[in-house]
Amino acid sequence: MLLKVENLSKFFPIKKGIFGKTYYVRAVENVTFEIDKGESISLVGESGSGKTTLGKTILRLYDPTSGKIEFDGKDITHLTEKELKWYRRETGLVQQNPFGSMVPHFTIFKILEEPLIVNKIGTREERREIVYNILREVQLSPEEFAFKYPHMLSGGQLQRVAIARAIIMNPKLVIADEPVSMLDASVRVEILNLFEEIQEKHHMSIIYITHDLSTTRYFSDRIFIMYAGHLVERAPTKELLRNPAHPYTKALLEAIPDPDPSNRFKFREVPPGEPPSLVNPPKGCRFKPRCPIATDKCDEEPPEVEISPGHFVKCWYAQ
Amino acid sequence: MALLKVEDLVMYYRTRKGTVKAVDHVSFEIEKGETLAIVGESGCGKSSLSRAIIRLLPRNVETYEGKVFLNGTNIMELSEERFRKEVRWRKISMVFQGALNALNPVLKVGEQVAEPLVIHMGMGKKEALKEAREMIKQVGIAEAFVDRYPFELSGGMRQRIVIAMALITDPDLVILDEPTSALDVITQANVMNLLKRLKKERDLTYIFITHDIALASELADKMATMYAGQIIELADSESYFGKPLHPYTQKLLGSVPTLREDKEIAPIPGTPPNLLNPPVGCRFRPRCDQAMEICEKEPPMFSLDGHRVKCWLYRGEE
Repeated sequence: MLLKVENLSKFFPIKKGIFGKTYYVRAVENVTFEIDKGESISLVGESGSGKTTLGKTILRLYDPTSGKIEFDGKDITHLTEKELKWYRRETGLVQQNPFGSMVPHFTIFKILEEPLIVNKIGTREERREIVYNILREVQLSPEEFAFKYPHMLSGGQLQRVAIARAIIMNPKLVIADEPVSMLDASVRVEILNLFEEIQEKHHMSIIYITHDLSTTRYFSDRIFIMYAGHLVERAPTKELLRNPAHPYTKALLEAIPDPDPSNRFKFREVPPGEPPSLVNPPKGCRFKPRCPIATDKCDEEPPEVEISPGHFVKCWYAQ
Repeated sequence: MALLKVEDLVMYYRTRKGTVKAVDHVSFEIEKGETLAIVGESGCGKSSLSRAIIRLLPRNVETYEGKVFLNGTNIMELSEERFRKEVRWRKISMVFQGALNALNPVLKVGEQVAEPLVIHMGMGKKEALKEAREMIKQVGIAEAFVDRYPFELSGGMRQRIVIAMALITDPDLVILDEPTSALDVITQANVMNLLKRLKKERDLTYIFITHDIALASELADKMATMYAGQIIELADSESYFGKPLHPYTQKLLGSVPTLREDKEIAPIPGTPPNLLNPPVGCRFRPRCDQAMEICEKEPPMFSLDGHRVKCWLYRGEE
């Protein structure tokens, strides 16, 4: 096992009025899961579901409000920034907008060399070798790209650089937050294929954060579904797509069309409304106000039940 | 007679680097009550095409020509004054990409929905507000929200308001430019359900612009592929999805991940061409694995039982 997360919560304080009470945005609440070495996970949720917050908390870019994070057997929940140095090397992050995550006046070479310098790795010559190799690995010719600036690259090329930067220290865990949602459909597949290759070659674990359930089946061993700060369902990919058990997951699957000309004659059965505010979420199950099968019992937070091996559902009525 | 018939529509605009051929001799027609979805990657000219039809041109436009017949009248011949008074919003309206975030923050949503009636139809404010109230109900929003401000509404509700604004003048044609791209999937499905219901109830005619082929199939009676400023394939949805002809459309469909069907997906090699200086002849030629010598000449539109395709592979099969 590589990563173990137990009852993890992350609340952000907000103040209302000058002397007002402090309220909390309960972005992530009571999340528990484990990830194996070399496993790839898709973390799926709508905007505002807390998926990015969960990712950043795992990477300790945010301090957890409560709960526990174990990485490679070590408790990293409350380590200080200094103590976290090794953890930063073992983890990598690829963000959604490649244009926003690169220093604009650094060349691609310098962007990639930076983490090596910070971590005091190699001589100048050796670093050059490492950077060139990593560029080749993400299928960018070093001769052509090393001395270009970020604005000279297309979105797809820049995302390759972002991937190169995330894996240059050979981390054990990479979190990719919507890495393809700003790219065109044809480029998306390319980038996701590249991820898969790299992940297999280096035996890394990947958490792929996305709102797009339809790409996940190609790239993940397991799927986690988040709704309004709760992890509502997690299961092996095929099992989740074939036997979704949480009413929210069912709605999500129903909402996504496949290309099919007969779609235009059908209406989709999706719940009305929108996700709740995380400042004042519903008591108990957070999907209750939109759920077609909710009862009074759902005012109490449902436990996570394992309905088949590895298939966990946070719902009172899961079977 | 077709409701809309576009013939050889051209819109080029000037930049410091040269002329961008955003819409390059595009032709198609739409019958009343029909939906045409135009799909293509970003930068293929699909949004420029919709703006060329409703004549909202960029300031640096260089060439704007061709014929656009609406119910038999060539609206390209109208003066700007007459176009604004008689066509825009009264006969052709549009839902712009991201428009839900462009609502006026200091106007109540009811007033915003009523505005087109006052501006384009010359209706009195009181009467317009009454109609707006009715329209807002039609798009599935409770009446209580008429007197609210945009920030009090969720994204899905604001998108419904934008749709109400496009429909309030009872136009002949509604252009939908990525109408759900800012929404989450379940909200998107709800809005698509609404668009389908309105289409059925009001016999609406849509042009639906999107990069998402799966979403296009939710509305489209006819599908068109746009590539580098040109329409390269145009067919009934059944024929388009069942037997796509153009190599680009085939690759585009092959790159779409599916949720229910087990299929391999493959990327499209290469990148879309620059519209400043598109390839001579077939514009897909540099990326096409079936390119031949003749592809250096621009292919005409071939028609195979009404399925139109701009590709030399189908020469002599008409």
